Amino acid sequence: MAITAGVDIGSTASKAVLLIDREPAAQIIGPSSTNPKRTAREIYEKALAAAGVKAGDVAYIVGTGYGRTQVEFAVKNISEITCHGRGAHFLVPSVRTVIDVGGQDTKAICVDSKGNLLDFAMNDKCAAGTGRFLEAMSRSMEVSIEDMETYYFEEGDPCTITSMCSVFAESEVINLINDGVPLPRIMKGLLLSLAVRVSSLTQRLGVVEDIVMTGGVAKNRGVLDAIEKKLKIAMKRFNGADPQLAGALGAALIAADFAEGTELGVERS
Amino acid sequence: MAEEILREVGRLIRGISNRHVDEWKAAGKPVIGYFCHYAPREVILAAGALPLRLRGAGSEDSSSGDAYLSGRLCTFVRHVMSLAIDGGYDFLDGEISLNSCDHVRRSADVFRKKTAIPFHGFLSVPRHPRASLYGYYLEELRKLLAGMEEHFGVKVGPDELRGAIRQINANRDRLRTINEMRADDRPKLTGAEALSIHIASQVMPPAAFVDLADRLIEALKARPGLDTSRGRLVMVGAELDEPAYLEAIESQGALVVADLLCFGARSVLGPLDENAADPLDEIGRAYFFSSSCARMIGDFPRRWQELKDLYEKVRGDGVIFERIVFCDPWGADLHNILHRIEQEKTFPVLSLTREYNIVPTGQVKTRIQAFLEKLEIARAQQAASGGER
Repeated sequence: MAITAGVDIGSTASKAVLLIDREPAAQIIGPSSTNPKRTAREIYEKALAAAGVKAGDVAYIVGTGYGRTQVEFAVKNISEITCHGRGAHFLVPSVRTVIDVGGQDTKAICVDSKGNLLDFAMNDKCAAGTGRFLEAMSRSMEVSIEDMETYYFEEGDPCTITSMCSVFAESEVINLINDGVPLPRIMKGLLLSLAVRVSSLTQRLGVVEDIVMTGGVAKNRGVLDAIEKKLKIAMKRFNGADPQLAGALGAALIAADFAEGTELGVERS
Repeated sequence: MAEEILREVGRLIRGISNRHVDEWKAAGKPVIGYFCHYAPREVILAAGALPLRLRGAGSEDSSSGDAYLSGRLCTFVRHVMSLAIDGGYDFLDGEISLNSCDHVRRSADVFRKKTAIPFHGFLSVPRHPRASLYGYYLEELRKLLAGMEEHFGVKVGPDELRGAIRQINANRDRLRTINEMRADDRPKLTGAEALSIHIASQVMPPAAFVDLADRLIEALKARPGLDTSRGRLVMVGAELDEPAYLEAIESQGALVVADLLCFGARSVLGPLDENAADPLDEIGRAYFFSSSCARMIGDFPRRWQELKDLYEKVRGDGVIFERIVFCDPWGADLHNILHRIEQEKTFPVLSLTREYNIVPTGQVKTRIQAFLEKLEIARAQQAASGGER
């Protein structure tokens, strides 16, 4: 029995996945903190407890996410780009393009038929098109991120949000609210503006189907719908699996490879 | 021992001046700042002045430069000009601006209007290294030299120019040795260290640099070689005088074993003829035809070939392209590079767009790590399928 773990310390949320013989035995999500070392330890211990496994029985641990170097107990750290590709492929084996919209950046990831990283594009200079954008808009509109989805699917034509910058987009939203524009129209406009950023990044890489979306923002069906409209392609769904866990899952799968003595990217015999 | 000398190099390039510049000034000799590689150091040196490459090192912000230069100008130029406007370059006896790009060109106006620097030279360099345009560049060099002669009250003849060629040749000779040592199977120094040494060669008297470089080369011979198993990278692009940027790249496990950067190896020309009958022509030809910056529109095929040859020579695993935001010439070159890569399937490339004076954050490191993992996956798969690396 091979037990491996992946710990993903993201900018907003931290995640841990424990695998027993490459099958998920525990999956934990919690908030990130200003002490990533402690967060990593706590979330990992929660995963151990949930699976009823002792730390000494875990053969290999891989850290990933922005806090990957802070996962002190990990044997290796691997970028979240490689891990998301691998995790998404485990959940949807036909995937070739992964869109990961995280808390502070967006990545388009191209993988091969085994889920190995082939290429990627990343927006890392601007909050527009990331989870931070949604959080900022959620604050200015006093609408929870969950309720954004509800508003998005209500009747009404989308407003045009012209600002490419999150800060100016927030000002634009405040003006629209003060002009009495209904919230569903503003919400559609917002999610479509996010979708424009995400789809242009993805198209820069080259869209190869099947496509899935990972990261916390992928839980918002409104965002998924908006991106599909912009890309004019239907994305695959994870059938109940949590897209936010894809990075930690990929890390745990790569940990399983390393535990078996396999190099990154080489198919097991 | 090597570490000690490298720390010395670090101290020399930390700011825009250093103790060697102070000593030169104390001896009553002038110092002339120059903006770009196309201003030949030999010409400045022959006029009795120390050529000092203009940099933005130590600039805390670019606010003073921002007041006169558009926010759409590159941050390297804005930081340099911020220092100049705030008096940081007042120790200079002269400066030479160029039309390297529109951003550097614009700085010439600000130098003249907003600084106390007494001598201003300007070198207009044609946009294509065509033989038919060389006469124009040579004439520009003559005008620049005449301007310096008049201002500094010196007479520069062929002997002074040949002497300067000898001194800068000696610098280049050491830099070539260092570039060979960094490209070894087990390099003796990192890319960040190599860049630091190249920068030092452009901000200190040639004789002092030769002494420093000789001590360093000797010390490096005894240094254990570095591991390049995570990747041998070649770096190409625009102005980069920040070794910390390369340190961030190399912190992810790979080594930058070669570069075509203008503060780095791209400026190391082949040895010039020290006995040339017309030494100014020898200098002019070397600078005009031998080193191609992206501002030389139409010369991309040569730059592309140069990059491919270097990549092969140093057994590269990947290329990192860097440019500063709003740098149009290098933006155009990136487009051409990506197009050629797609056509010729040459090598993997990672493109980084950066701002001057900002050390890469976690997001840039993530991109670099993912790029290295991509290379690692490709190598492992190739090895597993029986292919050679």
